[in-house]
Amino acid sequence: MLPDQIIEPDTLRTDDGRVSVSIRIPWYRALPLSSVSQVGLDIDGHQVPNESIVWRTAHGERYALDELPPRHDKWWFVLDSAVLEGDLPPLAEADEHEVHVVIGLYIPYVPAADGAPLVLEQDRKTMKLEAAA
Amino acid sequence: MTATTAALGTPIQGVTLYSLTRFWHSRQMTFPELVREVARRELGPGLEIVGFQSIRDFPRVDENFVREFRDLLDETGLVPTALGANADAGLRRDRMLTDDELVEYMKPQIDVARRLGFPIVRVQYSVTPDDMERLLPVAEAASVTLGMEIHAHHSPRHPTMQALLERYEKLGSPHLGFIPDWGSTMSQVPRSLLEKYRRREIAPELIAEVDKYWNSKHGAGGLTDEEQQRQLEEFADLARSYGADDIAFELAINATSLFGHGEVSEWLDILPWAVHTHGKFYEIDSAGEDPSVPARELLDLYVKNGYSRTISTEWEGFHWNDWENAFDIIAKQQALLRDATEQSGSRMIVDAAEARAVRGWR
Repeated sequence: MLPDQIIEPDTLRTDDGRVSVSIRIPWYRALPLSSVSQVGLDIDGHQVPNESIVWRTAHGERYALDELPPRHDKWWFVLDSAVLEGDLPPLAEADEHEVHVVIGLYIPYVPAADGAPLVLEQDRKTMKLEAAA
Repeated sequence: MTATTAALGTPIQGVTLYSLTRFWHSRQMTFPELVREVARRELGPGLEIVGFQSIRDFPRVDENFVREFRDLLDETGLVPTALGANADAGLRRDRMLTDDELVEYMKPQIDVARRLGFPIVRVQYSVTPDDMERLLPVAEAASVTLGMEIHAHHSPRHPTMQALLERYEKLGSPHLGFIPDWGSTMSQVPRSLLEKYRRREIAPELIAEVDKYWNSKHGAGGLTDEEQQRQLEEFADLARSYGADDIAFELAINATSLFGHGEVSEWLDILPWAVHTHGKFYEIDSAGEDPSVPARELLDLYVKNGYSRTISTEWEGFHWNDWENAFDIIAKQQALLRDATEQSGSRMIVDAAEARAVRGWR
């Protein structure tokens, strides 16, 4: 649902070897962070290593991806951005870069028999990479 | 109750803000702006919201929100119908919530309905008949009615819903009921989804196969859980066989959990227990008709069986349809519902005072 809304335009930033992009929930209602089943971020086809990714909430909290599953006490509200931040892959010099984000979600009121996520959405957008001031 | 002896029903028009998700999610409109626009365009008088969508920190709701919401209702004249609660049994990754935990999870949501003035709380199928019985005194104390949503892949004849019906008949309480979602009884895959696939340049042969496959499963009533699982895999395989891996997952989920195969006549089983309705639709064609949800047939059944409760227009086409304005398409569906009701010899109630009087709401 709403995959076109995932990547927020013009939010690609780099600072000291790290890269970040702002994202929105591809769902209509707030979900607990424990609902986030899968995250993928690549830039110009270069994967940002998952183990380097930090999930930053709108409230300034920071979670490694493997810290999300137990957080059924923390919510991603439908109007709030989250930020994915990870190690900057080696990018060729270019005016603009293609950002690709994959988000998988468990939907807590549709418990799947085999534990499979119910939502798997992706978005691609092209934008400038802005260095931190 | 039979069609020949019951007085004709006069359903009450309304809308759920869920239909307007794109305006909300994209931050184009605030909550008060959405409510005011619903009133300005006369899409009420009924107003439904989903707690976890519209209210930050739900079900923790402060008094400011309660006061602002009630002021907004006074200002617009809209009538609160149902508050969408969620039965998040799959909240945790390590295990499902226990029945005790799920019951506790529902209680504060029910209390929000009371505070905001919603007479009905939508609940979902993870709430078992036993859970429902345990929540009955909570609903009574809050003066609200719990409505179990019957949503695809479920239909009224699904064993889960039949078990609940049996319990309702035993308990006989006006605080328990069902909320039919018309997506349970569709007539074909939405044309707008096929249009979206064409815009995405999906192979025309695959688009035709999707339509054909769904139709081939139609006519035998709603799916069992096992049939749903099997069709989920078959739809995904179908997409992959055309190399359309990127749509395989969403196609399979949509086709098996949104587009229900139930027969319209199945609603008769539970209609005496229907306390509210999700008037689900995906599209209205250029003739003003709904190609995928049999609205006229549904309204005819509702009217002839004396249904005089609320219907929330619920546009779900926004999942893929980003080229039409939600407010406009809602108005078109409501025009169709009004016309269908008149064709069946009755009318829809669109006046707030009359709606309150018919329902006995203050």
